[in-house]
Formats: sequence, structure tokens, C-alpha cells
Amino acid sequence: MNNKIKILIIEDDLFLRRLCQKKLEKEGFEVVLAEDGKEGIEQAKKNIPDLILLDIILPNTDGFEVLKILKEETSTKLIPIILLSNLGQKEDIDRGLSLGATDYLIKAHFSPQEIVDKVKETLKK
Amino acid sequence: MNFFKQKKCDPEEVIKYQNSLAELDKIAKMLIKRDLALSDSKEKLTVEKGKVDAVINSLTDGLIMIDQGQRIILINPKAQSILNIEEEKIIGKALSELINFPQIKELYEILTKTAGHCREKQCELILKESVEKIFEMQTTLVVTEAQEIIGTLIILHDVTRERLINKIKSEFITIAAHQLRTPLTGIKWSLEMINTDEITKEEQKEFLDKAYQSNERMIRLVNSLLIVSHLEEGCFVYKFSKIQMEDLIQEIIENFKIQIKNKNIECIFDKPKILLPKIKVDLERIQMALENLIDNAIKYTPQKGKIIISLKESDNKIEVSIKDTGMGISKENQERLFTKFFRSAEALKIETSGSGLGLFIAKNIIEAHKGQIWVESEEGKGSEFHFSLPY
Repeated sequence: MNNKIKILIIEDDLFLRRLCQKKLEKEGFEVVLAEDGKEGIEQAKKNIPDLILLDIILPNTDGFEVLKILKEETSTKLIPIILLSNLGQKEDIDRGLSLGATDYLIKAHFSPQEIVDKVKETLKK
Repeated sequence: MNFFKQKKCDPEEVIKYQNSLAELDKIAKMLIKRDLALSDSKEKLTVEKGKVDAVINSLTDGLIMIDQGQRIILINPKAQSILNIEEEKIIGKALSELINFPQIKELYEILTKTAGHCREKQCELILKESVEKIFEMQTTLVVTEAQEIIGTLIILHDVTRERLINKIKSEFITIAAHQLRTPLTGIKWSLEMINTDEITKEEQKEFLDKAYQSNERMIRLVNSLLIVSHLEEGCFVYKFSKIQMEDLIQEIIENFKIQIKNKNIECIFDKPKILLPKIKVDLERIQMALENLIDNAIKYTPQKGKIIISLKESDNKIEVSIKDTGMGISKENQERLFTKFFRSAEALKIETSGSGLGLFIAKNIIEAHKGQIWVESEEGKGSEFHFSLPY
């Protein structure tokens, strides 16, 4: 049994998923991975994480849809979700935040360290 | 003359009478003049009306005027063509009587729906024909000088093309953001990870390898984008030479040998026994189209799968087929398969880094050679891409 803080990464790009996982593990988090929206929802329900990093362009169910479903579900609606996407148009950001995302980070604008900082900051709240 | 006799010719009376004659004459002349002026202005009015009609008829926007009872009292030729209807059939009739004309039904529904709050405003009219057409619909009340409302003017402005351009632009931004930023993020994150203190030699190698591969992906993407921009300028096929299709395919298979071997794929090249006639093509481009198709077949065929490339000739055409045992493509996605930046959900599941440009490029190359390209596929079983080129 461990009492590490659990982060779920829902990200379809193998490289970015792996890099993000490495960074978070180095910082002492437990990392659960999902490579598409459907798997992400299943993981979130089965294995309630402390925080979710969610991509938007995903196979099967896209990130907005995942966000909507998780925010409607009683067991998952309180989990803070940070959108981590390379879409950066205003309407994408507005849509994400209005669906209940805690934050919206554009991947290419943030380094792994900055993402970790955001994760820690969100968990403190 | 009886008159004078009776009156005994009073000179004063004569003068008076002469004066009134002059008066009458003046009035008659005035009347004639007015009559002339009237017919003149009538003519002028006809000319003016002709001018107004000409202006209305040559407007590039559709223009319809309805009266307070929603009866059509004016419709210009452009509006007739937009609504696919002839003036004689509808003039003087109320819109509600005309709802069996599908386009008028749309118009009527919007007017009814928006009555009250959309008057004097802009709405959108979408007409579904063979292609969807979008119109900006401006309605304005027509008011006389005496402040009497005599009807509503409806102006239909075609914005289909603008909307399409906006949609393509927005799709491009989404794809560009995703496809360009993803490998750049890979490079950025890898480099940052390498640059931190506590990493092992193995991790260092892993991150460097990731940075390198992300960069390779970026280079491929930029190349594809440049090719697409050439395609869109229309200056694409120009270096024609006569080639032997069998040799070209053999050479491409040879180039993909490593990938085929890595996935343990059985690759069969089924060529006709008799040599095909040579065909005149832009070698570099046809090679690119073939490479895109074969590359896809390898990418989407699982380990130990099978690829069959076959070649045949009929009706002065050479047909190339590339059959794989991949996951196949749903009917719905087959329709969009050759469009720019499209990636099917099935494909995304297997390979997330594709640009969605390969098949678009292949299609454009084949069509620039007056050939055809198509796909047959069954979900879960595999796909077969075909193209034919005339010689």
C-alpha cells in the first residue's frame, strides 16, 4: 500500500505520455496512464486519481467529451482536471474552462517542470 | 352672330367677350402644355422604372419584397435562382401558400421563427441542395414617407464561400497547432529532461532518441506541407517521362524492406506475366503517391500481416492495387479519407503522428495524371487502395 499522490495522464502521443510520466514519477507521484478518451474515463472511475492531466485531441472520445462526462459523474466530479493540449485558440480554452477544467495549459508553452509546478499548486488548493 | 344682334353690339361687351376668348385660349394652351408635360413625365417615369428594374435585376444579391400579408410582390432573378423558383409561379402569393417549394419553406420558417426579434436584423438561411449553400439574410421593413409600413424587404447574400474558407482556416489552425506543436513539444520536453541533474545514462539516451525522432517527424511534416502548398498552386505535374511501372514498384518495395521485415509482414508483388506497356508520368510524383500508399499499408498492418501489391492492364489503363490486412476503414470515414488533414479514428488509434496529408497528396497526384484513385475496405479485415492511370 502506498500513499503517493495519484495522477492520471490521458494523452495519446506515446512520446509526450512517456516524458510526462517520467517527470511526474521523478517528483514522487504515482502515475496512471490512458492513451485515449474511453480508457481515460474507465481509469478515472476505477482508480479515482487525485488529479487528471487531460489532452484534447484524443482517439475515440475527445478531451472535451471526457471532461464533460467526468464532471457529470458523482464519483469523479471533484477531481481537479488540468487540460494539457496543443490547441490554443480562444474558443478551445473558453470551452475547456466552462466545462469545469481547473486550468488550461498549452503543451508547447510549458516545460515538464512548469507542469509539475502547476500540478502541485492545484493540489494545494 | 345672333348673339351680337341680340345684344346690339355694345362695344364694351365686345371687348369683354374678346378678353374672355383670349382667356379661354390661354387656358386651352395651358391645358395642352400640361397634357404634353404629363405624357412627358409619364415617359420619364417609364424610363425611371426601367432603370430601377434593371438595377434590381442585375443585383448579385437575391432580393424579395413581401407585403404585410407576406405576399411576394417583388422577386429579382437572383432570388429566383437561389430559391429555385420562377417569378410567375409565386408572385402575389403568400409565403405560407408556397411551402411545398422546399427553399421557400426554409425561408418562411426562418421568417416565422424570427418574427418580432429578427426584423431589421441579420439571420442565416441554409439551403441544402446538392451542396449546402449558406446565405446571410437581411430583413428590413419598407416604410413610406408617411410612416406607413408597406412590407418587408429580404436580401439574400451568398456567404457559402466565405464560410468554407473560414472553416478550412480554422481546421488548419487546429491541425497545425496539434501536428506542428506536438513534435516541437517532444523536442522541448526531451531537452529539458536531459538538462536536469538526476538522470541516468539510459534515460539520457531515451530522451535524446525521443528528441531526434520528434525532429524527424517535424521535418517530414514540413515537407508534406510544402508539397500541399505546391499542389494548391496548381503547378505540380510537369516532368514527364516514360517509365516501366513494374520497375518502379519493385524499387519502392526494396526501399521499404527494413520496415516490412521489422513487422514480419509478408509482402507479395503480383505482376502480370507479360511486361506492361511503358507509361508517361511525372516519375517523382507517382513515386511519392505510391510510397504514401505502401507506407500506409505497412503502418496499419499488424505484425505478421500481409500486403499484396498487384498490377493489371485494361482499357488503355494501368491499375495498381495495394491490399493490406490492417484494421480497415468504416464506410463513413471512407468518404472523407482523401480530404486534407483528415485522419480516421481507426488510424489515430494506431498511429497518432500522421499528418493527414498522405492520401490527399496521392489523390491529387493521380488526378493530375487524369487517373482515378479509390478504396475498398471492410472494418476489421483490411483495406485495398486502387489507382488507375491512362497511357
